[in-house]
Amino acid sequence: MTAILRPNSNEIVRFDNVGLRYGVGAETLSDISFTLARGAFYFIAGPSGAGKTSLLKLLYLAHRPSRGQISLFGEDMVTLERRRLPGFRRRIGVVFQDFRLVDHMSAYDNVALPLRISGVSERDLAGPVNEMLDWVNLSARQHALPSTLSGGEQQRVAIARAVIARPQLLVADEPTGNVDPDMAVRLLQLFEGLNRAGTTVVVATHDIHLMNRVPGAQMMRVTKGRLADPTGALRYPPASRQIMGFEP
Amino acid sequence: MNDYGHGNGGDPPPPILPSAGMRGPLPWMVAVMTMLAMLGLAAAIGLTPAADALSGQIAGRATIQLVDVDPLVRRDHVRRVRDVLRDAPYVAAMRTVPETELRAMASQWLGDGVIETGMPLPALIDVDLVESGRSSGTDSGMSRLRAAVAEVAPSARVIAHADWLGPVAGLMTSVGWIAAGAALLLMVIAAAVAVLSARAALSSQRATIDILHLVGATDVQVARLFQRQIARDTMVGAGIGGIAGVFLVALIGWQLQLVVATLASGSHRASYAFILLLPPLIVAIAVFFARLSVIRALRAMP
Repeated sequence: MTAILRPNSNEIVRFDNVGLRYGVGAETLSDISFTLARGAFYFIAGPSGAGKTSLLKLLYLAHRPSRGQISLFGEDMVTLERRRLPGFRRRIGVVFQDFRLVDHMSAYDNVALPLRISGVSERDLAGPVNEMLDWVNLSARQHALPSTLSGGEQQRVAIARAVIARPQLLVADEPTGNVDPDMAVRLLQLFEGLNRAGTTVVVATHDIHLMNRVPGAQMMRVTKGRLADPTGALRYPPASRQIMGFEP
Repeated sequence: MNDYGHGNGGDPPPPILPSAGMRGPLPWMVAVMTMLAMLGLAAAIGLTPAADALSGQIAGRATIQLVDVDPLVRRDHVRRVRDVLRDAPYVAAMRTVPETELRAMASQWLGDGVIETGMPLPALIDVDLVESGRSSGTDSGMSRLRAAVAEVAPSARVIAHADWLGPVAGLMTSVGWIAAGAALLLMVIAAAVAVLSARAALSSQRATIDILHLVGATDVQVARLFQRQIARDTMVGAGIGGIAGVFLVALIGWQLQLVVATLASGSHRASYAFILLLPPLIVAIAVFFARLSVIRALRAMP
């Protein structure tokens, strides 16, 4: 049975029976339904090829679903006009597994990119960019090109770029996959700091130790393109249950 | 305005899309096409009025050839023809070609000993018809001239210059139009090259474009990056081609001026200024179509 979920002011993301198909092949994601609460921390776990990255692509608006409904920030993303997408993408920070830094631009310019796209002047962006580079401990490497940075340094530049515009939603795909355990812990602390500042964080990983380091985080498990939600906690989180009358 | 489409203060940010500039093929291809288009347009501007002038000059001109072997009869026919044409209303001017001139003409082909052989030379009378008699038809000046000459000298031949110079004028007109068509075609090809270059850049920079989209760049912002890059490259190419084109047109014009005065006559000299419009026109067309093509391709992206 398909349930129509009513929007909740505490929700930032809502997926309702979402399916994703690339071309004419089988569905990569099927019947995905969940809601993400504003300011919460989520891990998406699952084996390689389960569909974690595809789910994240839907979250950061790189793709539209083949079926179902997706609501972000209270707006329907399935029928949203293409010209309105950039406005929503600016509210989402993305950390890619492969960093996706612009090769010919320095660490500073990569971090400054979202602000420049948003129209922030060179004078006004210098402070935040330097602060962000300091935050990820890369001030000394600000003029370096990505090709001269280590994997961990590139990952930190990618994180700084993702969070510089103070996104409401941060999506990270295997952010610790290319860094050593110590750096992984440091990156996670960065995410927690952002989360404490009000950003909803979604991290896809299969590192169980990492998940254990964030006690308050919720876990979503994706297996063979489906979201495992045996208790219904993801589909009907406590706040939603109250609104829909499941609980007194 | 910087690369991101904003009029920001401070130092300009680095370009988002790397450009090959003069190391790439686009400026050079545009330069060659601009130069060829300018030569084509210059040819069209020069040849069309020259052909018109030539047609105008030969339309009312004829030569009467009197080929009687007997010099006495020939002289008598010359006199009769002159008498009948002297007061003819359709004749504007008439000139009997002097015998010395005829001998000089014949000796160019047959050598200096032609006179000693005793070979008879025809008598020639050049006739210019009045403006109103230059139309074609049975009532035209040329028809009346033929009739009048046949009456007094049946063996005489009236050769209308238009009969043998007309195809040359027609050919010049055709070549002029072909040159204009070639110039237009080269402009279209320059635009097509710019579009192909933009599409190639779009393909090679796909990863950067995806990043720009994901950090919130609009299609217009991304298209502007390509538009600027194409504009820079085509402007450099059109500038180089324009300078080379102007130099070549001036050189060819100077050389032709010595041969055909019409090609560089005062009234037409001003028309050559039109070729200076070609480089900016090529840049404008190339940038417009490149932008159109990029926007269309961006809209097809997710």
